[in-house]
Amino acid sequence: MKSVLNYILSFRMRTKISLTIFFIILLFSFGVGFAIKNVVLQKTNYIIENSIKNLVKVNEGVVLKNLLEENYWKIFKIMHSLKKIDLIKNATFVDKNYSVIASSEPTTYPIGFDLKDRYKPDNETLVIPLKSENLVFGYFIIYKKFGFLNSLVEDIKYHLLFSMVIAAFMSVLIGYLISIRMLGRLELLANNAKMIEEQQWDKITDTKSLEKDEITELSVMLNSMIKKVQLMIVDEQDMKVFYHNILENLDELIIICDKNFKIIYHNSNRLKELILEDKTINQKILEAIKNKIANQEESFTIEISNEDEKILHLHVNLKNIFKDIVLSFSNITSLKRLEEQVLLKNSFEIVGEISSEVVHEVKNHLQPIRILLEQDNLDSEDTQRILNIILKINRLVKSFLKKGRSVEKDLLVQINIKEKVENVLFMFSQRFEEKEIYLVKDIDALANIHMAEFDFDSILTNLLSNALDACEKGGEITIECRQKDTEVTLEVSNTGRGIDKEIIKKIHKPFFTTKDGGSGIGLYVVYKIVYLYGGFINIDSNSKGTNFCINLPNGDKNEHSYH
Amino acid sequence: MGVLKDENIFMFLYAQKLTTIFQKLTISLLLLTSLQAASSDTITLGITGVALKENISTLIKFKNYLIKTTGLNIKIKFARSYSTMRHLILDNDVDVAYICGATYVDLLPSNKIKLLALPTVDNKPYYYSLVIARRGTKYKTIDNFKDKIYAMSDPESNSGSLVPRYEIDKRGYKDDNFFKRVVYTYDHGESVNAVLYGFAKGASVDSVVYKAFLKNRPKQKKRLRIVEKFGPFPIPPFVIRKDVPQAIQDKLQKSLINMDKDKNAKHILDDMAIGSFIKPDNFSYEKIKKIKLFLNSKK
Repeated sequence: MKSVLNYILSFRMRTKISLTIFFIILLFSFGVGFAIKNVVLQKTNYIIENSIKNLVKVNEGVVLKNLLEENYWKIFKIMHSLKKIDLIKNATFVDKNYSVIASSEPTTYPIGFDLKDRYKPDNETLVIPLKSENLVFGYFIIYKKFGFLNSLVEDIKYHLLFSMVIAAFMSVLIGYLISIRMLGRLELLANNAKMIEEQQWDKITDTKSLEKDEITELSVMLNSMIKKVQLMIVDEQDMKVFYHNILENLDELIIICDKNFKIIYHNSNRLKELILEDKTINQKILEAIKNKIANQEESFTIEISNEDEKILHLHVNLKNIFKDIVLSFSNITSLKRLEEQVLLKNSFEIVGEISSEVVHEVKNHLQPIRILLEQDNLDSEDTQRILNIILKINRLVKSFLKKGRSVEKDLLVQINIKEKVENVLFMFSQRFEEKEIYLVKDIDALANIHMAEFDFDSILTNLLSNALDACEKGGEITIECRQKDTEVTLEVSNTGRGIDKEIIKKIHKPFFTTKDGGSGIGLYVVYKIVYLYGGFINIDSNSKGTNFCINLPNGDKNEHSYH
Repeated sequence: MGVLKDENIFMFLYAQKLTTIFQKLTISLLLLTSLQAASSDTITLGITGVALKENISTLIKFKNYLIKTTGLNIKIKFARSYSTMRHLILDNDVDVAYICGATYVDLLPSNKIKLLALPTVDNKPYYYSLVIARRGTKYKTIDNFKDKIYAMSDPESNSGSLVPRYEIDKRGYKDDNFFKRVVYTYDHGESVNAVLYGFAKGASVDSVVYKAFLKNRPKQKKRLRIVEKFGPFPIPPFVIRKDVPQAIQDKLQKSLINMDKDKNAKHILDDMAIGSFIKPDNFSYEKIKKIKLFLNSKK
C-alpha cells in the first residue's frame, strides 16, 4: 500500500491533478448514480403500484358485473389485458376463498385452482380486494413485472455509466487542460531555474500567459528576480575572472587557508611547486611560518632550497582576513643578489677609490722622501723628516686598514641612544661654549640600537664635529632620534651656510675635504659604518642649514646588519 | 423497453372505452329502433355470435354494401347473446338479423320472422359443430373433455352449445357434471381464443366462424386442431321480420343473393368464410329443432 502511494506520489503534477479530478468526478458520479438508482427504484415501484391499482380500479365494475353473470371469459379477457401491460407479469382474479376465477396464466392457474395455500404475499405481489358496499367479492392478485423495473434500472445504470464515463473522460481532459495551463507556467519557471543552474542565459524564457492569476504574478516576479540574479551572477563571474586573472598574474604565490592551514585557494604561481606538497604547505615552511606567527611577525623572509639545491629567498606577508589566513610568498632572491652586487660594486668602488687615494697620498709622501734620498748627504734632520713621512704613511695605511674592517659581532651591544648622545656631547661641551652654539635635543628616551659602541661614537662624533665646523658663532645644532619598529632614525642639523650639490655628491669619498687641514676621512667613516650596518644617509642642505639623517636598522632584528 | 410504455396503458384504456362505446351504441340503437323501424328507409341489422364480431371492418363493409345496393339506411346492432337478439327481434328492435338456426327455431312459433337468405359453404347451406383443442393435445373425442374446462359460445347456440350437449348426452354422460366447468364466451371467435389462451381445454364452435377466424389469423392454424366434427346442420340464416315492407325484403334479399357476383363484395364474403347467399326456398331446420326438443326433454 505504501509503495503504491509512493508510486502515485512520484507521478507528475499534471497526472496527479488529472487523477484527482477524475476520482472526485467518478466518486461523485457513483454517489449520484447510486442515489438516483435508489430514488428511481422507490419512486418507480410506487408509481407502478399506483398505476396497477388505478388500472384494476378502472376494471372493478366490469369484473364485478361479469362475476355476477359468471362470465368468467370476460374476466379472463380483462386479466389478459392487464398482463399485456409491461408493469404486470401475471394477473389473477380469485374469489374470496382464493379459488381462481380467471388468470392471465390459465394453464398454470386454471379456473378453480386453489391459491390459498400457494399464495405468499411478498414485494412482487399486489393483492387488491374487489369490494362493493363493504362486501368482498374476490381479490385481484397482480404479480408485478420486475423485468420492467430491472430493465429500467439497467437502462438508468447504463445511462449513468455512460454519463460517468463521459464525465470521467471530460474530467481527465479538463484536469489535463487545467494542469497544462497551471503547470506549464510552473514548468517554465523550473526550466528557467535549471537554465540558471546551467548558466544558459539565452534559454531563459519570459512568462507570457493569458491568465492574470497568482501563478502568473508569481512567474513574473520570479522571472524578474531571475534576471537580477542573472546579472548578479554574471557580475560575480566577471569579478571572479578579473580577480582570478590578477591573482594568476601576480609574481607572488597567494595561499588562502583556514586557521589550521588547510588550503582553500592558491594561485598557480610557480612557487607552489616548492611550497605546496599534496595540496598542503610544506612542513618545514609551515613550521617556519608558525614560528614567525608566534613572534607576532606579519612580514618576514625565509630561505628555502629549490630542486637544484640553490637557496631561494622568499619574502612572506601574512594577513588575517575574516576567519582565513592569506599568505603571500615573493621570490626576492634576484633582488637580494642585485643588492649584494650593488653593495659589492660600491665596496669595490670605495676600496678602489680609497686605494687610489691612499696610493696617491703615499706617492705624495714618497716624493719628498725620494728628493731627500737623492741628496748625497742625509743629515739627521732629513732622516727625521724621512722617518716622519714614513710614520705618516704608516698611519695612513693603518687608518685605511682599520676602516676597511667588517662589523665584529662580538662587539655588538644594546646602546641606549639618549645616554650615548649625552656622553658624546660632554666631550664637545667646550667647543659648544666657545662658539656659543645653541643645542636642541629631541631624543626618544627608550630608543636603543644594537651595534658596536665605537661605531655609534664615530658616527655621532663626526656628525657633531662637522656641524660645529659648519655653524657660525651663535648658531644652532639640533639632535633628534626616533625608533620605529625595526629602524632607528638619527638626525643632526645645523644652521650653517649649507653645502653645494656638487660637493654633496663627493662628500662620502675618503680624503675629500673642503676644510683646511681636514683629513677627508670623517664623513667617509660615517658612510662606511652606516653602510656596514645596512643603513643609509640622506643629506638635505640649503642656504639656511644642513640636515644629516641617518637611518639604521635595529641590529638585533635585521639580518642585513651582519655582512 | 425499460420505461413505462404509456401507449400500452392507452391501448388498454382505449379497449375499455371501446367496450363502453359499443354498450352505449347498443343502448342508443335500442332507443332509436322504433323510430327507425317506422322509417321505410332505415333497416336495423342485428348481429350475434354467429358472425365473427371481432372482424368489425368486414361487418362495416358488409353494411356499406347493403346500403349501396339497396339504398336503405342500414344500421348494425350487436347483441351479446342469442337470447338478447331474440328479444330484440320480438320487440321489433331489429328488422333483419343474422342468427343461429336454434334461435330461428325458437322464433318460429312467434310467426314474426321469415328466412331472408341462406349463406352457403361449398355451395351448401350447411355447417358443422366443431370440437377444437390446441395442437399437441391428445383429445380424440369430446368424451376426453370430461372434467375439463370447456368453452361454449352461447347457451342457445346450436353448434356452440346444443350439439355438444346432445352428443354428450347421447354417449351416456350427464350434462350437468360432465365438464368441470363450462365457460360461455358468447362468441364463437372468443371460444377459439379461449382454447388458444389455454383458458379452456376445448371448445365447440361454428365451422363457418372457425374458418373465418383462421382466415384472418393463419398463424394460429398451427396451434389448433379439430378433435371432432358434428353435422352437417342447417346453416345460421339471415332472417327478416315479416312486417318489414316486401319491397325492402326484396331489395335486401336481392342484394344478398347477388353479393357473390359483385367483384367488389366477394372479398367480404371471403372474409366471412361464406361462399354465397341463396334464397331459402322452404329450407328446413328440423334437425336443430329435434336436438332442442331432445335436450329440453332432459331438463
